[in-house]
Amino acid sequence: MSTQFNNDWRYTTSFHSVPDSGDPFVEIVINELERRSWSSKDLFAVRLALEEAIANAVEHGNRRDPTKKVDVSAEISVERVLLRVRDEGDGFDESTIPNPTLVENLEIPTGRGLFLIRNFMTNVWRGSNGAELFMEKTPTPNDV
Amino acid sequence: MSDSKVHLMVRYEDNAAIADCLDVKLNEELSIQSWGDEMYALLENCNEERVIVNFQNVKFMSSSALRVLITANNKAKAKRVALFLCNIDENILEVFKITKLDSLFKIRPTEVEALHSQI
Repeated sequence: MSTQFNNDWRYTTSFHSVPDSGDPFVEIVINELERRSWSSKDLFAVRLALEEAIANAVEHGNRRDPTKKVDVSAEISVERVLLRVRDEGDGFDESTIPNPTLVENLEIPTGRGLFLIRNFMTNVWRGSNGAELFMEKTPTPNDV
Repeated sequence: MSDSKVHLMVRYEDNAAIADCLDVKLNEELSIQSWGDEMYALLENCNEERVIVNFQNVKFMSSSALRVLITANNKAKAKRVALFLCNIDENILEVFKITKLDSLFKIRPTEVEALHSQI
């Protein structure tokens, strides 16, 4: 469902937990940001964060159960993009995730998704039930 | 499960196998699995002293692609093959820097530098 009013833009949808099922949503968001002349660097950051969040929701939250859904939404204004990804899982304790940048963890292939989200977005926070992730990015100054 | 597309084009030069990544985006799960399978097979069957993965075409990469690269690097070390990465897009290079994986991989700006770097 898409709503457009004034200069704001909102979109919300949901999809089943199968590989790459979130791709159309990602493309819709990126296309809207491109239309607003966001820089390639910021587009890269938003795409990365959104893809990582959706992958985590499918793999860890819904444990690849195709009957479970991922709810997503995006709000874009002049000042920012706000993204929400929610799965049907029980949430998780972020303190249990090892720091992937420690020397002893560098050769571990997995566990970088949330770390990348936090580094590429301006603000990241989780909803009260822990299975909902909010990600906000403001455009890099002088790039819009 | 993997797709049926070719993701790596391999050439041989100066005792090195040079693998050109053909994808613009390394983010779709099935494509990444196939890309990884091709990379692992290349390393498994490699008789060269170095393998260079050229990312000239790649403009986006998710952490799933990093997972493949780390696994490939581990396989290369086990086989005593030097794995080099080159021509990495600046946005993707930032991912390597933030995750400190730039300290794990032998990253060179160009294929020529990867070809002539000391092992």
